[in-house]
Amino acid sequence: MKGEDSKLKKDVKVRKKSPLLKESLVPYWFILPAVLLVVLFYGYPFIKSLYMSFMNYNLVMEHNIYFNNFENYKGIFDDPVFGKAAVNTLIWVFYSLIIQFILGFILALLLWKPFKGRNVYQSIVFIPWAVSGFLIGIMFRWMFNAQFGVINDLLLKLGLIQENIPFLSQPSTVMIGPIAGAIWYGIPFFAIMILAALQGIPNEIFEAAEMDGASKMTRFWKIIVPFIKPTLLVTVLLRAIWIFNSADIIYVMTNGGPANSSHTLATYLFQKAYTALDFGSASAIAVVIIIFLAIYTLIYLTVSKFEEAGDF
Amino acid sequence: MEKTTTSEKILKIIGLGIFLIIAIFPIYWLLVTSFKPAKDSVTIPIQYWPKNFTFENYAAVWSTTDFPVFFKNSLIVAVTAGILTVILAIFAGYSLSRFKFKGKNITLLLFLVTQMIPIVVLIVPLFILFRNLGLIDTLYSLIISYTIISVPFCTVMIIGFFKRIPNAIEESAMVDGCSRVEALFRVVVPVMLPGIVATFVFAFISAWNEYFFSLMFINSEAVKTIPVGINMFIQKVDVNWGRMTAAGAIALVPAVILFVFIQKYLVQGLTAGAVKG
Repeated sequence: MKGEDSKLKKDVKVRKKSPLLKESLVPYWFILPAVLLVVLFYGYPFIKSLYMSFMNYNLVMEHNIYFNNFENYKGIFDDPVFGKAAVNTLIWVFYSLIIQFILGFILALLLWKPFKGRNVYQSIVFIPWAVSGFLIGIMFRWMFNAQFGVINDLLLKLGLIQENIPFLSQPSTVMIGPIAGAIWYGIPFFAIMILAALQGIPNEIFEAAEMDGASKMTRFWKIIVPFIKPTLLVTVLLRAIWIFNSADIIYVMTNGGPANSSHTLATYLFQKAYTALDFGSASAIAVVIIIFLAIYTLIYLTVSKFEEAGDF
Repeated sequence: MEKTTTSEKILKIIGLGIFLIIAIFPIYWLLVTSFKPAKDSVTIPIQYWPKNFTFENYAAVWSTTDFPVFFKNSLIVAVTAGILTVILAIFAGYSLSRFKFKGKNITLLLFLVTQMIPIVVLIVPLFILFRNLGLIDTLYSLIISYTIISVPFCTVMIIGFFKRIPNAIEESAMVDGCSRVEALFRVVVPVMLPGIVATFVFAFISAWNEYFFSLMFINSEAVKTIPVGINMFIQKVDVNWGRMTAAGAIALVPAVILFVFIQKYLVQGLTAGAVKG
């Protein structure tokens, strides 16, 4: 051990001489591998997608790859499925987000004050967050089954419906299934984030409010909500993007069907790439998604004032 | 501090009960179905508890399909990607939490922006890249992809853990003659081990759960991971729900156990790192 240590010491001395190991360069060396990886593997696909979106690029006809200008873009904008997918994306994000936000908020409020067994309760109630979208797709597809689905059975028993609803096989109800799965998955996320924010509220504020005789409702709207507003804003905006991008639940549950009625932009892109092997159109959809998200991200960064909050 | 009335207490208990049922029921239903003989899951009336309790679905999945191979592959991919992610995140997180340097905020912004990029958008270009490198249909393509996905977020997460450790610890080690890297790995890392384990688990779970990359990049039976493997069961017209749920239940085990085990630290890390970003 000792010999090794002194050898290392010598190493340090030798290294200190090299200009590349100047103290001011140290942070760059540490961060280099991660940054390199990110720039390379996010940057390259970005440029490649843009490039390919102007090409006729189908994997089945690889001898026939050429630039086709805006054909892919024209193709997707003329495609009724693309329009439908865009609308579905909004529906998917809006309903999933708003319901999981409200439920997550309520759960966080319930978990706020300590009670016996809270830790155990918490680790059970947060489990959905560890379940994959793929598995959620399977579980909810089975629960929403038209004939033998437990959800139909429960609704019948409760007298809410008279006969089974084929949720996933009719366009009018198909989005309900995946949205339910997404909500189930997302409640813990909001509960965790909001709970952390709640626990950051100083007690004195409440004591003061109590002395002023503020009612519970007043305290909720006048103290709690304003205090945790930054967290609420950031988590909602960020989560919206994650929901936008998560496509596995839908893909597994409905495969975009029936009759392409449940595609979102993300599942439609995957279908173009995976099933149709039409890499050109898939890339064009990717570019549209990136532009849309870039605009959204700019709004997000402005609203959440990243410059201030990001300075760790 | 504050009086809670009895009716409020009851309301709270009811609320907690409802959330518990919501969280558990789908998993309960997965397990119940997996323990029924295949024909019992497609009979009316629906059995809320298996009448003929059986392990036959599990036995069938494990011995008549390649599921053990899928399971092993998923494990290899998730563990390797998790380790690689943690190493890269420790280095990057150390840099970002301990130093002030030019370009630091840009780097953080870069990492944040990656969180906004949909995985599906990367699929086509990465497919072509990996094919040119001869990595399609190998586990390497997945290991690399999953490491890339996890590094930015895990770095931000690990910064939160670094911030809890005072600088003095590694400074004294460096005074004692350790190099910076030695001080980091011999002194700092052991102290923040729970945070590092949490970060590893986070990366492990995302790799374990990923679906689209594995579907796109993997073709051969021998290198399929669980999601691709189970996907064959779904694509068939007549889904065997007994088998399917049994396979799903097995897939659920590692992620859930790890999650419950380190849930507390994961929550700490998420709230320390992510919210502020």
